[in-house]
Amino acid sequence: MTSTSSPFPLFHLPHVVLSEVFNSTTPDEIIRISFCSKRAALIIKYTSGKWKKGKELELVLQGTQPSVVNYDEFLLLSISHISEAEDQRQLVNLKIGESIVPVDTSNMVTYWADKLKGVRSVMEYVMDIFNSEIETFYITKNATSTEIHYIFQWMAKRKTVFSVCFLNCNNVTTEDLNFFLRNIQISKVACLYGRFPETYRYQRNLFWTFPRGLVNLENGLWMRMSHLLTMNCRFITVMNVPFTNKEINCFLKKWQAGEACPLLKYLQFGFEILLNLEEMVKGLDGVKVPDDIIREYKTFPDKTITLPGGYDIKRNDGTMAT
Amino acid sequence: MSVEPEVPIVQVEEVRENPVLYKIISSDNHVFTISEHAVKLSKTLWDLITNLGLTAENALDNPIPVENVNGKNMETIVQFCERHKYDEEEPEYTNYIREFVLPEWDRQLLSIDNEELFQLILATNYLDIQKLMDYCCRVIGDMAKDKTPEELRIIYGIPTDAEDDALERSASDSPGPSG
Repeated sequence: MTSTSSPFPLFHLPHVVLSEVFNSTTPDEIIRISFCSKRAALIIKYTSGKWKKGKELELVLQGTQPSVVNYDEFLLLSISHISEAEDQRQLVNLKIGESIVPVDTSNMVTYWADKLKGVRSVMEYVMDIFNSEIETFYITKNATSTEIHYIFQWMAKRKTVFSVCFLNCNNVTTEDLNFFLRNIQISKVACLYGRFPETYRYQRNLFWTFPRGLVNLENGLWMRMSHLLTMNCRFITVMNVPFTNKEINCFLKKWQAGEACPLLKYLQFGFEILLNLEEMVKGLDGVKVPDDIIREYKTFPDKTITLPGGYDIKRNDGTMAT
Repeated sequence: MSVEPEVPIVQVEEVRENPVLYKIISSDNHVFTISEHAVKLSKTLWDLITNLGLTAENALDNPIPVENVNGKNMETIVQFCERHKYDEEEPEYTNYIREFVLPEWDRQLLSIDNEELFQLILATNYLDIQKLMDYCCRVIGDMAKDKTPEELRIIYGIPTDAEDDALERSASDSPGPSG
């Protein structure tokens, strides 16, 4: 490849060329370059590039494991507690936000005495460099109650709409869950899984009205029919819903009339009781499909589901549902 | 418009399919011939040819002076354009830039000293040759692969904060144009 006899004077390139060079690097490399100097970080910040147009920044919050800020598949920076550092002599001090932090530059793990401060500082540093919000959050089962509380407060303060949130509720408190459902807007994908707090009781919130893409809930005991009727989401999967045959029938009639979930493409409910199909479809004027007729439905570009038989109903605009 | 060449014409590649040739004179008076298909890869040169009204009949009698590009870079550029003149348009690369592999011929062509690469990319930018720009950027971007910030500072000649501060101080201490 090129000779290493002299450096390549990257920042002497015209701005438009520099932007093209940045497009030929990966987001993790952009972050590494940003740590070369304050000026490097500033130049990157004010140089346009395709990475700034994407909204791919995400946080993976994990209590016992290092938390991670990614750009799509690229790991940008990890956040660990300083006690996790094996050999601090190998670490390089870098400035992240207002803090000077030891970093293992071979894998970009940052070490913090206060890991939560680290999570916030790393998120804000990366957002500043890419001039973009972190829009995707994976709050894993390892995340502690304290971390979850902190991140919910931080998200609410951003006063923005996030795209995706996968929340494992194992360690979330009732108070924090209510706070999340009331104050944080998720526009595309909202998945709540794991155990809900035992003391959790439904309180009024707007959670259901926002997502347009996918809602997936492992525990839907707190879901009410009024929630479903406020939703306008393409894919809905909720387990352990408390709905009755009559309520389902009422919902389907509203869907037929075009008064409920107009975007809906896929709806799956899990029930704790056995339902009565006849009661559910009463008055829907549908057609029973024999079980030996097997049909495939494309849910995502790369995913299909197979339905043997079923019961076809038609919406007032001609859209069919099985 | 006609300029007498001071050095022998560099015939980069014989052009059989397309008889229309143009002459280009570099800043150090090297003269190059380039085929019509190849020169079209340079938006700047093709706009110039179009605006000057050069045709198959008068093209060779009217060399195009390019004062911003020296002979060495122009030779690389002409080689590149002749090589890629019949390429089909490449798909736009996705985010996964590493999926695109630089062809070996081009990797060899661009295996040059960093200073030369710097001059070449400036020339490429001036002549507006997008494909060569993409390839040069790819070579420069590849330098960052798997490198730490300390290594990148050396590879890309990025001054430390202290060096930047010192430069700024010396710039502010030096007398202005009237001083």
